[in-house]
Amino acid sequence: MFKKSLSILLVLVVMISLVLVGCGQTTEQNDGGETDNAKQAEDKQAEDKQPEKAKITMTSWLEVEQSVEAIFKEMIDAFRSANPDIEVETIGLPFNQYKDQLLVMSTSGNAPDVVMGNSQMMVGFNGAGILAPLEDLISKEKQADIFDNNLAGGTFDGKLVAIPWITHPIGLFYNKELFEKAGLDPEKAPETWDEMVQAAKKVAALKQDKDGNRIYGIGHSIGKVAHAGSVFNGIIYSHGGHFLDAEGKVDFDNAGTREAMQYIKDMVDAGVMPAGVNQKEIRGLFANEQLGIMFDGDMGRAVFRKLSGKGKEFDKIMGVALIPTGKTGKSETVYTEHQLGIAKESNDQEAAAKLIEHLLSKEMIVRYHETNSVLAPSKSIGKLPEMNEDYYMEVFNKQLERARPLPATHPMFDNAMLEVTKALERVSVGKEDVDPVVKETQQKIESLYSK
Amino acid sequence: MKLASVLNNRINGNRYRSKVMKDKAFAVSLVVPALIMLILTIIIPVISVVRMSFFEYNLLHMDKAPWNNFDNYISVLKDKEFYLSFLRTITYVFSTVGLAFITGLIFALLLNTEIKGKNLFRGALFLPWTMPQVIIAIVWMWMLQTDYGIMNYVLKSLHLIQENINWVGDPKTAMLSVIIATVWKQMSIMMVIILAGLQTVPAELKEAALMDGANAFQRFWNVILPSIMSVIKTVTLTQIIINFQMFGLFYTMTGGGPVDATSVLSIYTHEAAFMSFNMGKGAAVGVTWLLFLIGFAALYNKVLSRKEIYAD
Repeated sequence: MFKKSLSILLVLVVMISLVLVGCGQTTEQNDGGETDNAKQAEDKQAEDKQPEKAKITMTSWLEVEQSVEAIFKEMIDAFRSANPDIEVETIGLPFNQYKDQLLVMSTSGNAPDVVMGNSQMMVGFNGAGILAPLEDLISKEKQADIFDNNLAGGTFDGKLVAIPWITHPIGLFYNKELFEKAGLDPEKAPETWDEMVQAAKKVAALKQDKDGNRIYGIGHSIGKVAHAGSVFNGIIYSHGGHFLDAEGKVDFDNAGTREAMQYIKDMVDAGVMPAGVNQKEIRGLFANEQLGIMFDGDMGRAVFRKLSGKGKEFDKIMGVALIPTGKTGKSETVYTEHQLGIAKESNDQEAAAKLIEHLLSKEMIVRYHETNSVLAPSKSIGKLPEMNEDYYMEVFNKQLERARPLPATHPMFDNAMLEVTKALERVSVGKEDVDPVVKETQQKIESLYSK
Repeated sequence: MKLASVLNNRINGNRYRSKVMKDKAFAVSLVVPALIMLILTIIIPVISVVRMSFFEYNLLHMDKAPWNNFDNYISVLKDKEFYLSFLRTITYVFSTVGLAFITGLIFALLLNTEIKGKNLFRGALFLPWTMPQVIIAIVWMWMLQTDYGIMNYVLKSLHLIQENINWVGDPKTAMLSVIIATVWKQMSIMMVIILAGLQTVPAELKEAALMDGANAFQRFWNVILPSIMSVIKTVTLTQIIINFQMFGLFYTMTGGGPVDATSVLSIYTHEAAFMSFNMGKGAAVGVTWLLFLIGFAALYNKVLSRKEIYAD
């Protein structure tokens, strides 16, 4: 009986509390008396007179990443100040869940107005019918200012649906101190693929540093995630291979791909390259001065400064150069890219386009470059002295002109790249022969693309 | 007189019925909020997933989702990779729960004795359970890193290995790496719950066994273990179910690789549902998995219930 009464009492207390909370708000509003009421009425009238604000939403992973959170907020705030008639709500989603969450949001009728994504994601969003054509929404001048290569990366079935914003071409980094110890010229980066392989072997021959840590000659991301498969496309191009044939069909099983796979296998088997590692681990090895050569994007410098704990001091031992020329006689590489799109479902595509143009503007890109050394695929902005302030940035701007987009033409591209990563793991850590692995991977990707 | 008695009985009966009705209404009012939460958070999602598993739900064209004649189930049951993922899951779950149980039990038995600094040890040992999975995954990835990880350094210093082991990157050791990280986290909760169980074992039972001449092992095996069997049953079953659903550690540490060596059911489902955009197939894997777990839990309960003893 006592318990029952106590329970009733508790329920009553909770209910009364809820009622009081509700009344409290009203009371608070009433506390100010007549003067406040009159002021509130005036404010309301003034609000009513103003034209209704356009409301747009934008999704990205930038505001949940420590390194870019502040600059992203700064750019959005600048837009808000310049466009008081547009209200922007930003939605931050973690990178690892971004694609899944955006697909679920959008296909269930809650698409954001402005969609940010990378090339691999955008092809999926386009496949899901989320993105609107941008030709008539973004100004012709802006479109014309973007490198053709980059513009092609966001164009599907002849329609531009994702406009390139920030781009990360992959270049070559090397450790000058290890080069010197290995008897190589620390000021001369390898210019051809063969020179690079020889240099890597010489560095690997150092075997250990003074603390007994293993030294590797070269490192590529060849494990765990689809990203490894995506950047492997650059190595395929260097060996004269391709992922898609001239007609755009999957043609992974070609001589160039097999040679590229064999290169990975040989380097791992010879102990020149670590096996089963992703880009994060490769970066760790390079920052720890255990790696002679690696490929990375323009964000590499900032990452190594932080990871090494040496800050700008690390620049002294870090060399940077174009990817060595391979079979095609050119410096071949790929770039990954952050792109922007507008949802088909958006209620205010014009306001969304305004936000995109703001993010693509010279002021914003230069500011973003100042804080995070990013590159823009823009003909006019890329040439600005502010964007080429040192040799490092010059190299990456040059690399960008030579870089190819990822062959992301199908919504299942990310899956295909995961299969490529698995193939890399099979030949490197699994010690399987290259030919059957490439053949099977071709079949798997064909099967994925046929669905 | 007779009429008065009948009326009196009726009045008492009505009062009784009214009290019963009031009690019932009160009981219902207490259950309803929990029931509503259960319906909203569990029943409706489960029904939606079961429904989804019979249709062609593709994220690329959600506007049409036709009935597909059990194609999702046929596709799952025909897929060799499903069975391999299932086997990997079983290996992972039972190794993890087994090891976490044994280590948790040992620590709980130690902490149930009168050792100095008991509370401090208990707090320290419970710490891993409070850490988020992602943090644990990252910490262990660093510790197990081939070239600068502490694990290889320690093993090499003790001359237990000659060459560094590629723990997470080698298909032979990748699953073991995830198991080590999981056991480190889950041992703590096993320890705390078993310790709580140990503290409820009646002292007179242990004393009686002692007086009967039982040695330490016999006391543990015949008295303590059966007395805490209901606790063991609950904690191990909960951990089995939690580990069947383990996604975070695999996704962060190995992504299912290398060469699919750690592609367990959760990774397989994620690939089917989100990488291949096939929510229908993903749901079919989930339902198959749910049915297995229901059957397993029923059997597990039945088998372990036979071993229980009650102090009263």
